[in-house]
Amino acid sequence: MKTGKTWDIGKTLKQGLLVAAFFGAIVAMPAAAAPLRLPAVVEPVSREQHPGKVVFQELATPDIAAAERFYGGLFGWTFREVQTGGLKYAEARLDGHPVAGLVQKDLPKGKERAPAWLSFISVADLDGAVKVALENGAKTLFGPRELPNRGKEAVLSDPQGAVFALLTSSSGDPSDILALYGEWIWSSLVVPDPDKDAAFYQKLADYEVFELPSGSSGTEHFLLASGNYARASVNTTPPGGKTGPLWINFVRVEKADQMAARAVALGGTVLVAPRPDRHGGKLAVVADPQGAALGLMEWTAAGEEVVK
Amino acid sequence: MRARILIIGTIAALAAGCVAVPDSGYYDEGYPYDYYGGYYGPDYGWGPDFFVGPGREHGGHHHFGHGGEHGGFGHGGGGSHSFRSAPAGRSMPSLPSGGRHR
Repeated sequence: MKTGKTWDIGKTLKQGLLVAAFFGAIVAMPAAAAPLRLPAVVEPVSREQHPGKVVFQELATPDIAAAERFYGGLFGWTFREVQTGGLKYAEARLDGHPVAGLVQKDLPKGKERAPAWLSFISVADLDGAVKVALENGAKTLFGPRELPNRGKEAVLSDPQGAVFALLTSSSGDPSDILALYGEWIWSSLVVPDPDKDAAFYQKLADYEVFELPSGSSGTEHFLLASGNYARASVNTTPPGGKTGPLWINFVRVEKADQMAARAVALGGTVLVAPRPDRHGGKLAVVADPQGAALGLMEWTAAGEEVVK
Repeated sequence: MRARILIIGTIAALAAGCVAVPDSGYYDEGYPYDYYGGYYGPDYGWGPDFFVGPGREHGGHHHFGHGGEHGGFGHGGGGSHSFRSAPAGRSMPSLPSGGRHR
């Protein structure tokens, strides 16, 4: 028998849920008002798709303003800041086109970590590629997730721990044209067992794999190609090298010596001093003032007129 | 009674709040993925013959690498790698060389 003092659980729940709806709406309002909308990878939108091409790079940095000063001073990039979904993000542009993304993230405490550039590899079927990656020893760090403007992406670590991203861009892929000075031109993966990773990435993006002559210390050098273009290299971590498994992306520069010196003048450091590479031009690896590594690579295409 | 309503309401609201954050994954603060790379210091160990770049454009067949039984790039069936080598005799691709259309 019910009395006035009996706890009517149904009524209480109903009233509780009304309170929840009220407070929940307040909590959810900012999120709903500011969904994450990252800039498009390609602008204007392209209908091209180049599976296997490294189509975008994104930097996680604890100081986005300092990164803008460094990369703007080094390559002439300009920046368009985007405040979206509680995230501080900057789109880097060169010659009127998006060239990279910068994400502000605090450095994790208690660990010796460095900011890093994340390489995005184009795939036609993102879910399928992630499935293949997981079946072959990769781990998912994020996604797969559809992001407005961006497309569908996932961040993974490969079987040796190198972190990379897969992307099916909703704005298409950048054209297969010669990079301008200041644009990304090349990507290299440096891992203890390049043979294993060459096979892994081949399964993801159906690369053609070529072997180039080894160094005198026995380090291997594989080239990943798709669409009849070279896309990336996979190299052995050299003896004495203290790097972990990592992707390094290279920006095309006219003179690696001068650009390495400019990087230092802007607060960066030189990690690999400029020296000739297989193609005859020089390359170098530098770190920005916050410690993110990137490469500088000279490249002159056959018949190209170099504008001084 | 009011206390119970408030408790239930608060718990439900907090739960709803957790679900209602923007659907942005690793771009969110607090997402478990450690966004950063390792700190390796300046010792990359790249000696003078440690090459990472692409080769130059090649029009014909070349005999880099082990060559295998067929020659050309890759192994042509002569290697013992985990990956599938490019077809025997296949010219090694290089970087795009065309200009941007304006």
